Amino acid sequence: QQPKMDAVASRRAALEDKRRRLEQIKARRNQRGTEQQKQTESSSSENNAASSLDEYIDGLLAAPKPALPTQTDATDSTTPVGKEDVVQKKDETVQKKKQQQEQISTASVVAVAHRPAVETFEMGTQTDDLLPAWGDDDDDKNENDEDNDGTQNDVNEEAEERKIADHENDNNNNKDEVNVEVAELTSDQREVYVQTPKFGQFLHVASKKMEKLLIDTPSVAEYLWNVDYTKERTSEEVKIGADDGAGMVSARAVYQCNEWTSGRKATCIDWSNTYKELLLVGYHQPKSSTTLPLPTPTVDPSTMSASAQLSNMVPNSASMHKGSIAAVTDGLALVWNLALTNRPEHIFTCWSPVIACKFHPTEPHLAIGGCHSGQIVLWDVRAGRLPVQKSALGITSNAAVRGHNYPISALEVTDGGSALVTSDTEGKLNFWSLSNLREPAESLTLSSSNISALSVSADSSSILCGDDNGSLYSIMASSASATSTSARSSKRLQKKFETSDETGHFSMITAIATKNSGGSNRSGQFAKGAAGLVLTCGVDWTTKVWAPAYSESPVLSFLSHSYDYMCDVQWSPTHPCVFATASSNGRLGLWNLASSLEEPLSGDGIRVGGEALNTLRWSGDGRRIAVTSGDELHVLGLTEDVTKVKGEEETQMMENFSSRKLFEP
Amino acid sequence: MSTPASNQNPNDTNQESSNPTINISMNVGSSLSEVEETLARIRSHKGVEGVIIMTKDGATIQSTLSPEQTNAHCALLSQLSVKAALIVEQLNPDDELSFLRVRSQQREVMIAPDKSGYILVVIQKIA
Repeated sequence: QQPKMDAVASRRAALEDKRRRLEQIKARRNQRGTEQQKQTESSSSENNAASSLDEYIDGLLAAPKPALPTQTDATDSTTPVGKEDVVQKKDETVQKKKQQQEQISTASVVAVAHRPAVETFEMGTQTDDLLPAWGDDDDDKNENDEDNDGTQNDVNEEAEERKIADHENDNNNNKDEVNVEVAELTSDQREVYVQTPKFGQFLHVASKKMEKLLIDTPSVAEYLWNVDYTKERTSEEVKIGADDGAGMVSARAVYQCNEWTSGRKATCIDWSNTYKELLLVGYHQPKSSTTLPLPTPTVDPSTMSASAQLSNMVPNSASMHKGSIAAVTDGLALVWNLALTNRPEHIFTCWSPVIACKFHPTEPHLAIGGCHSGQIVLWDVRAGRLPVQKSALGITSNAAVRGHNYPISALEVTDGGSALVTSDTEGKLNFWSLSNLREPAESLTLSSSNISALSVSADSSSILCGDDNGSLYSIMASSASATSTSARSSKRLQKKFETSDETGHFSMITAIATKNSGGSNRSGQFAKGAAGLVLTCGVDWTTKVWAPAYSESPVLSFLSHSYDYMCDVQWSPTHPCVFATASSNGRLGLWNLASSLEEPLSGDGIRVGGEALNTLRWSGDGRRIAVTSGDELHVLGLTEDVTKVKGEEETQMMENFSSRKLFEP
Repeated sequence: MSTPASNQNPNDTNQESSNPTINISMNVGSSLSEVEETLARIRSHKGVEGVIIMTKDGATIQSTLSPEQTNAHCALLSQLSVKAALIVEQLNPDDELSFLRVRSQQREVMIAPDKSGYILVVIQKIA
């Protein structure tokens, strides 16, 4: 206690000294144009000079408050604000720290703030209670990082030096310039700051924000707010050719990041339900890697011990930095933000190429991926790049493992968002509950060959699958289990569509599309009418329309004029007659069955990219299409011509069908 | 819905050795090289004249400008940023400063402060 008492005494002496000097400064300030507020401040400080430490503190706490609403003058505004700084910080310290330390710390703050001369350092004790320049953070820092204390105090002193210089220069120099001494950090100190987690967080968030604002294409408002109408403007008319979708495509943007995506092919897309501007894209392994072996357990780094993994710290999912683990990882999934075209919002990696991916239907920060190794992985935006959960690897020494042993070919959400269904290249279908991704809830073998396409009807009571041979299957929930949510009988009705060779697909079906609403009713039958129409497309250059409620054969078949594989097809989620096709010649086709049952709206197709369009997804509102070409993600905005429902188009479409005697709706 | 485990579980490696739910900590700091990479990315945008990362007090962490220019900017901009933050918070205690843009005839200074006390400054020439 003794040294502390001495410190307090010496403080008081120093305080007296400084108050005298402060009064000098105040006098000088008063000469320059006095306002009421300064006089109250100086008088209040004079009052405080006479009393004890406690009263001084109270006095200071009370004094600037009346000054607050009267502050209109900007000339000396730094000083009153500085005082408020002091006051606010004092508030914090007073609340947080112990009584004795309170007094010392606040006294030291006050002493420092009013000290006009920079040169003398009369700080009795350099304790951790020195008012931190950064507010709350340093409480943690002081408790955790012992070795940072030295640098911490240096920074504090320098920061306070600067504040003092602030006051000093304001008083002495002319008011138009701001002359300040800034602290210089050594590179060691910089390292220290840079390595804190808070810095990493700040860097990622702030740099993404900046990049979005720096991006070349400003919004309309940006362009127009500062126009000088008296100047001549040269107008540039950009003609959009029919090839590029004149009249149909209103905007397009390409999302690509050379560091991460080059050499890879994008395999799957999913739009987020909660954040309309986010897209999840899964990528295959880069071309430079060796050929893929079938899944083997030894290669999986997830079997490393926890400590080994700790030593390979993976950076945050927002960081562009590659980190030490696998600079070239096999599996990659990126979350893209429509606002930023060259840097993904989040980066997810895993140990095997991602073939299918989806945002979690209910939790907006989770994403699910299906890999070439047969694993299902779960990523969390908050948790960094690696998956937080994964299903068991297929081949182990144990007895028959449930789950997939072969590459996953498709992944869909079913049951209104509480379950998943996945298919693999072996012909197996698995149903998973989202609360347990280690093993499937239900398993079913459908065919002997690759299930290449999968689609779930809107009410999840029927699932359509296509395989390598061109056969179409439907799996219905049995009527009993359709109503119960828990018990799912694995006895689902499987049905294979019997088509004659001329009408069905004769080779691999690449995609199946059911409609967003309807599809089939609870009794396990397909819906009638427009809602029950199904589209398929395949490697046999055709896109086919089926009406399973009426016939097991397709009702309509469109042959690609350029004899290219059709890679993907999807109904528009909002327009009942419009659908889009993705072809392997890099062109997108747009069709409207109400206007024509034979020709697409887009003629030869809208040119999108140089490579085959692997996958295509309408956005939830039906106004944009995301399509991948090689490693590029193209997002096209569509005009109202395409997206708006004009009148009774659905009935028009059905009339088209019935007039051609295709089926009787 | 299961939530991801936030702790390391070294004891998880028993029979289920093929499936530990390991979650590697998300909040790792950066390295000076990563900071440089990020600055280089931002600098590669059209019209960007300089990028500075500083602390609230004006101490430079990293900068792409010359030392004299950096010093000139740091002191002034950190004060401006701190002041702006104070203004916002005083006018409405629930509010906080999210971004600051100072547009002049020749350039635009964009300041992104952060609650942690760091400031990212980008200076861009106006096209």
